[in-house]
Amino acid sequence: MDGAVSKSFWAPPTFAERGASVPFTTPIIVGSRIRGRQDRLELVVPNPSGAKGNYILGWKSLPEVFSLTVHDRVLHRALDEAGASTPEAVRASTLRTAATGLAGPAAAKQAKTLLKEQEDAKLLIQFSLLSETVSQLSQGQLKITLAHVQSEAGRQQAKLILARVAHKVQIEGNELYARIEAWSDAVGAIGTPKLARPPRLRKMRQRIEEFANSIGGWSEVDKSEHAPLGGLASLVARETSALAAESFADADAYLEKLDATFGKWDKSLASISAAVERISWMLDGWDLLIAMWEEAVIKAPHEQQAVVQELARILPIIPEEEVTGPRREKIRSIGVQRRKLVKPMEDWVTGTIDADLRTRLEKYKAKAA
Amino acid sequence: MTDVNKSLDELSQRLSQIPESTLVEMVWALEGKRVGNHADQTALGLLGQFRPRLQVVRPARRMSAKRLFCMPFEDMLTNAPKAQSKIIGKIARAVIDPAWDLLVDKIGRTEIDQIEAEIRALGKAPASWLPLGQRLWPQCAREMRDIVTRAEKNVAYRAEITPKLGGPEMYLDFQDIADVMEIAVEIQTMREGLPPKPIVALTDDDIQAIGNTVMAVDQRVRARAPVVVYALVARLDQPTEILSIFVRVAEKGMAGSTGELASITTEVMVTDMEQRFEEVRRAIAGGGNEGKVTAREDLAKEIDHHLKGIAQGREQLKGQAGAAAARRLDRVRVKLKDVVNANIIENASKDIAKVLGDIGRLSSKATGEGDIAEMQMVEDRLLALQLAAKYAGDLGLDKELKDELKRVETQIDGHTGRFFTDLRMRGLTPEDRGGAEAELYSSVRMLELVSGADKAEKTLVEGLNLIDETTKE
Repeated sequence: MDGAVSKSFWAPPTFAERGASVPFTTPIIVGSRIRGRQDRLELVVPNPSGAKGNYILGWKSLPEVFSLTVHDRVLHRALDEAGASTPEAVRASTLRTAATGLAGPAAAKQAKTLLKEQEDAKLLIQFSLLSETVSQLSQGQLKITLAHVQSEAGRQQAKLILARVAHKVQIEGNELYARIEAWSDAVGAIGTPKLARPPRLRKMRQRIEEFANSIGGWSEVDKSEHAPLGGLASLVARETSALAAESFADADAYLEKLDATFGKWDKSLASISAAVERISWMLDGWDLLIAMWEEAVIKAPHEQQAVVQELARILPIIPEEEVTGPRREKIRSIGVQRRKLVKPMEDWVTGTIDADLRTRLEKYKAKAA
Repeated sequence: MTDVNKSLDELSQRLSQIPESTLVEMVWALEGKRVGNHADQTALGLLGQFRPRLQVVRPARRMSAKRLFCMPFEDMLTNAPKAQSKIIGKIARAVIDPAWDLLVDKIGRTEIDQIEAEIRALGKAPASWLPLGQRLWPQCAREMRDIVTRAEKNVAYRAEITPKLGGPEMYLDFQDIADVMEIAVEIQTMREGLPPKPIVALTDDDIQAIGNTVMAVDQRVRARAPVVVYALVARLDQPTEILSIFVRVAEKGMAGSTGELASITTEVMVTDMEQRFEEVRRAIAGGGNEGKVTAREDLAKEIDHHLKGIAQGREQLKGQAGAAAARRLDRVRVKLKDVVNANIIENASKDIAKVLGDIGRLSSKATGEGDIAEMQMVEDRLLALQLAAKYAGDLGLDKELKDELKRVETQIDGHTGRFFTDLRMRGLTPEDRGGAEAELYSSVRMLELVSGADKAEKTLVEGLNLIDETTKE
């Protein structure tokens, strides 16, 4: 092990420092994150002893330090080969690994469903952007249908329709089509606000809101010493959702003023991509927490209390430098609260792979979004 | 998955996300709907959806005079059949309705209606139902004691009411309710001061609340002290905790009559353990878990929990005085051993062999409902074996479990061996590659659950290399 970096709860200043969460199935490294440092990857592991502090490992040394499940050995190699250090890159490798069935059939099925949904969403997002552009630029005179994105012939027709309105934003029809395609690729994870089935990250924000309500309600009813931790988790979830809402609004705003969007296209696309990337960092890691809580709500009170203690330990608090003004102060005070409330965990702390704990992590994976 | 199934999945996910406070409101409104129409299918259906969470959240249900009557003994209720011999410390649910009908006759409909009206006037879940209970329970205690006293003296009267209550065993449960009613205020006060069922740990304040109850009952109706034991044991996660709880109560100088109740406490504790085993047995016999993808895994965990309780109980029953009770706990242990052997160990290898024989089809179509169910059955089998391995030695099943695991491992090794030989001999077309990889991954997953990650990874690496080498371009 390369050594501990912090004696208290780790409060990384930026998303990149914090790293992207990796949904391992080996209990001892639950809540770990991968990050890129210069030309190498590192793993940040919450202190395996359960006490405060984190360990930083060179990525390659992971299998030598911990006894990993086969799923995690395969995922470890996949992330290494992909050089993945962002939530989106980690997700791609994670889904492909889970789809093998090495984390159980339910997780495999879920991974395959999510990969398919991702493909389906691409088409719908492209349709939504084309339709909105044509409708706005033709002032409702022209329409795009789903058939226009479903076949090559349809796409040719769509280009002809675009050619009729492209002059309004001073470009050629084909160029307008290419820009919409690039826009559609950039917002693949968040889509547009009008989509009937919101894509993954938009849905995730909604789930975080629901989690905040659910665990917040629980913390009001529970009478144990763990109740404040539920309140803290609810607060962090609300704060995360509120911040993400701002970035969603930033990305969505480009649909409102198409003149400006296409007029300064390179700048627009860069800003849209930055907003989506920021959202994916903000919402990273919540999948596991929500799955943990969904399992816990139908359990006995003492089991719920144990889960609240576990999830408070790995709460993905937004890094301070990623926010400004009064929000930064609020984030800081949340960090202080956590340091006071969270106690060392015993459950995940074992050198061998505990069958029961591993199964729990695989069940969370089967609920991934 | 069909759209309907997907919607149901999403609906059930949404239901689990409803905050507890909202859930409580919704249950209240639905039960209100049912007050006017008991057969309201929408309300019934939705309450059914909420049932798993209701068992945990236990929100204040819409109160009625009958529910108020049951409140002090609700932890002691059991679903045991009517004809089952009287179980010490337990009251059959089946006796509630006939007992209540008798009471309504005795107390009078007017008084009951008056109490119902006061319940409605109090509205939703007041902080405590004790004040209204103090009005109802003493009346119940008086009338029930009259009935019991009369029945004990008058054979003809006893012969008249026994069938009304559901038989001789139910008459004995009726007597127990009469005992509870006599100290209902003390019992309910204790219940309100303790954490919800199942209690895992008690704080000093909780111990104080128990001590206060013991002292209060001793002072008022000492003969009813055993009821405190019944009520407490029924509320514990592990009934065997009761002995250490009374030690802590005694340390506070509040032992009261608990010291004299050692034998009855032991009896109730052991009986409770036996009953919990009976519940396990009934659940298996009733087939309620059949089709559940984690049926065996859940059973393995439940047995682990019971065994921990038994071990704890045996520790506390060391010495001559506890010998008979310890032997009863041993008998429960032997029964649990039989359950583990029959439901977790035996036939595991046969079930796995069936799936291995068809794994080519199952693994490549793992996204289909039917196929994933079969693969999940295998997982359930193997995970249950892994969990049972933790306590198989203690149960004397070490050899049986190891032998079965060995058989499973041999089957998987045999299957992968044949698979690899086939690859070497026939090779793969690029179209078949995906199916071969899926089959390899499924076998490796099974192997990992049986033999561990190191051996499984070795097989995986060997298999992937072989697939690479033998795929014809």
